[in-house]
Amino acid sequence: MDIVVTVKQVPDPDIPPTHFKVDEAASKVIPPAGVAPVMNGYDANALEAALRLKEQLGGKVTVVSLGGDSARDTLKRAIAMGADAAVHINDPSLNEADSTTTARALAAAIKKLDHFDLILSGRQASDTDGGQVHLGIATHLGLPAVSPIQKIDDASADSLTVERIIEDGYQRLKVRLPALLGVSSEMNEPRYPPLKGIMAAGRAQIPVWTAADLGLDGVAPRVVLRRLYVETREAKVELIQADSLSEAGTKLADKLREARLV
Amino acid sequence: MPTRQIGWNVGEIAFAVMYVLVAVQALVLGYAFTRRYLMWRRGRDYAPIDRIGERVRQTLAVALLHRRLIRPGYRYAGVMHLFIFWGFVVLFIGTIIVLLEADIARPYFGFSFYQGTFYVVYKLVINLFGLLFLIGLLMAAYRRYAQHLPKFRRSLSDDAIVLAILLFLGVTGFLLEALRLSATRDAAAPIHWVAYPLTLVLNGADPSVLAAAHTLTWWSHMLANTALLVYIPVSKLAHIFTGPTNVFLRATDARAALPLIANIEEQEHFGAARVTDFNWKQLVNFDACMRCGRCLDFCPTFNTGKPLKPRQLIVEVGAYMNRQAGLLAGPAGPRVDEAGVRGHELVAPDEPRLAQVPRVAELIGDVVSEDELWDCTTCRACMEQCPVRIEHVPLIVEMRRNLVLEQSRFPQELVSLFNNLERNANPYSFPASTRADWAAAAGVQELAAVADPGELELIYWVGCMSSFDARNQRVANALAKILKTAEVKFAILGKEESCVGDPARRAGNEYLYQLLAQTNIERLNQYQPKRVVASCPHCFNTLKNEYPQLGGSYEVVHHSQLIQGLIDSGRLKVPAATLRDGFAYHDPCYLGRYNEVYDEPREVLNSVRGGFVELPRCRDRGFCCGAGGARAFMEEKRGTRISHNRLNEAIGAQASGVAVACPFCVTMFEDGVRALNVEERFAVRDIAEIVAEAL
Repeated sequence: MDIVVTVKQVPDPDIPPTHFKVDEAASKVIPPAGVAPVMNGYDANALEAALRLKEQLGGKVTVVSLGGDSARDTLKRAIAMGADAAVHINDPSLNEADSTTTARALAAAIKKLDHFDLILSGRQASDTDGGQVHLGIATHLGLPAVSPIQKIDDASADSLTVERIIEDGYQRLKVRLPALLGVSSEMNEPRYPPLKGIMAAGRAQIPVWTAADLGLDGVAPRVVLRRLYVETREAKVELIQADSLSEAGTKLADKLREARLV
Repeated sequence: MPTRQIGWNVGEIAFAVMYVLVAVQALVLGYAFTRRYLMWRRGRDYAPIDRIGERVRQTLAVALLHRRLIRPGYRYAGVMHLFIFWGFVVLFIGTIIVLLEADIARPYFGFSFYQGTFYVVYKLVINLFGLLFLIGLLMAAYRRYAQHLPKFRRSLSDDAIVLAILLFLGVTGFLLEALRLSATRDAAAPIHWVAYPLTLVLNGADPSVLAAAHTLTWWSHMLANTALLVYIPVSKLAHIFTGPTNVFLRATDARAALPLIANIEEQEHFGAARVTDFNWKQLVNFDACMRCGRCLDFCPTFNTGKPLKPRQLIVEVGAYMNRQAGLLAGPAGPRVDEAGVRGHELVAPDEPRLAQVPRVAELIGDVVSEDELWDCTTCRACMEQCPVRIEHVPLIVEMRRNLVLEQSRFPQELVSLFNNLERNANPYSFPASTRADWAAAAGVQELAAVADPGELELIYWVGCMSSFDARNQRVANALAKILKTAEVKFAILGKEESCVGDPARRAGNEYLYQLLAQTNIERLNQYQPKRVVASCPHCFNTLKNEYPQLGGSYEVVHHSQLIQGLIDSGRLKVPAATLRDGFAYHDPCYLGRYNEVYDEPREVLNSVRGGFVELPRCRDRGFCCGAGGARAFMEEKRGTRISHNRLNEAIGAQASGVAVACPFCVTMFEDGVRALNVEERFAVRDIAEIVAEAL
């Protein structure tokens, strides 16, 4: 089974919230100093799922990413984990694009690949939390898309069964291939790359494609970012003064009623 | 003229048989140990044997003086073995002397020395050592079978057979003397002072009966001796040869450093997945064990009911290695099922076709479970006590290296440890840029901001825990206060400091360790510090003993040594101490056993608190807190809690708190104190905090 995995490099989501800063004038996130960007968590889950399917059924895993120069590190990480090949789309006109353009670019790149049976993507990126790109890719490629999923069963060359997460449980769906799946973190724990993989990744050749290579010159964004800011919230703490716990409880109840919260 | 007729009542044929049997024994021993040696050489190559003089000295000290055998906590066992060993050696030398007299001096040189004063002294000494031999054996039998020590719960038949044969030999030796003395009515009988009482008992008997009994005893002694010698190679007695060999071959340099994987990027294979992946010196380790169990006595995992038991690991891998090499485990040696090793196993008994395929046991998984490998806290209590210097910790790390670097198979918690170390240069998810935030508030400068680094006396290596963990930042602040009070010019690396790499290295991720180490070494080499002080023994150990492997040699001290030096030299004045309610002192493994720093922290406590409570398991017998070997970053799911075991010891010793010198110990004990609900009456303090409080 030949699988394509789309990955995005994002700022490290584990940094403390106080370190997340935004340049409001430029409507851009300021990359936190000294913290390297990482592979989007859900994409790592998708890659792990792909690698497990490869171990089960054989085939090839190709990773595709759209991003600036630093995205190359994420692609190398994917190869270290076990991906067979990687493609890097790097073009200033595309790198900061909206979801629609990103989806078009990735779909165009995937079309250029030899062959695929399955596309696995993370359900959303942890910086924008849009969750649109993978569905856009499916649309452009005319594929059925199921997202977000937490399990893959009964995988074969023609179909597989997935558990799709819904608000109060999950659905079991049988999906005929080729298809696209949006993977959620409940799926698995991404593996740590073995040293041999890290060495192989260092030697890997990763082709770089531009907008021209994909036939995407002059693409207009569908979404315009008007303002990017960090909401400031004020927290106020008022300690209820009372002589006993029951009195404090009564006073608290009164205050909540005054504030029309109960 | 006191002497004896050598070979009284022993015929020519008997002597001939004796010499044949001796030749057989020599051949068997030679063959068996040559095969064993060839098996060891199937391991990987290793550096040529250096420092021969030092090695010989160490081997002789252990073997002859029993340097490691007789030590606090083991006086009885050490003396017991001393008696058995020297008893046997002197008896053996006695036999050689008789051989020299009967087969060399008399026939070839025509003179005899086995008479007169020489004979008298000989007999007095031989009787003494024969008696000590028997006493030692009886002490041993009592220890194993009557004292009911936990580590002897599962004695094997080999243990009984060895004791039985040796006792038989000792007793029949005296019996032979007594029978001869009685039958020949030897006037010099009293000089055989141990056999003499028995001679008196036998004196009334019929001489022909005595002679017949003598013949019987002579033959049974000879046969028992032959049985013993051919049994040696397949029993625990093999340690007679393999033990000293192992002591001879042990690493003599940087005792505290793990072996380096050189040119790691060019290696194809990492760590030990097969027995032959160990180097040949390491393979000798597995053969040297004679199951004394000292490695278990202070082992944190054995004592908390976890799968890892160092003795069992060594014995099982040894048995596995012997099977792989085609050597027999021996008729009474550790049997395959007794040692718990499966070996060749049928795949599925209910599928006859598949049942024909033999399944070969794998080293990791079948012989040694992954749980056992990850249980280890690398505290070295096993290696410290082992009389024959088996090096358990490097063997375990070697197998961890295979799991991590080659198979990528390790506890899930380590994934975030490795990822954090890679991304943030610390084991947590704090960004590296915040590493020096604690210092800003404490008024401590970063090296990069110091105008003239040459003026600094030392660099304070803070370490990840004291940089990021709130509880341990208090220790860093305390040490900063001490250094300022003593007017020591110092700075920290701050944002330029990365984790020394100890957790990665201990967990088997040698590659990640080398990346971190190389970054640090480049930085330190740029600054060329006069001295580095570390408040964490893990940082201390790695900086001092392991960085030289990669080109970083610095003068490194632990903060307890520094503080003690400051107090001694008068640079730090502490108020006179009155003995206050006692804190116990807990020896951190990486400070105590790894670097033999036992005294300085104690002197500091004496200066500042007038004393402390010495715990039963102290100094080289200290009981680990459970955090080493990257275990601080893994969950403790099996057995009981190691830290609770140690805390209960301190609470049981009526201590009001525990003084430590390591941030991991601080964390483990703080957690333990809360879990055991003794926060009200039991405190945890680093010695830096104790000193700073007193200033």
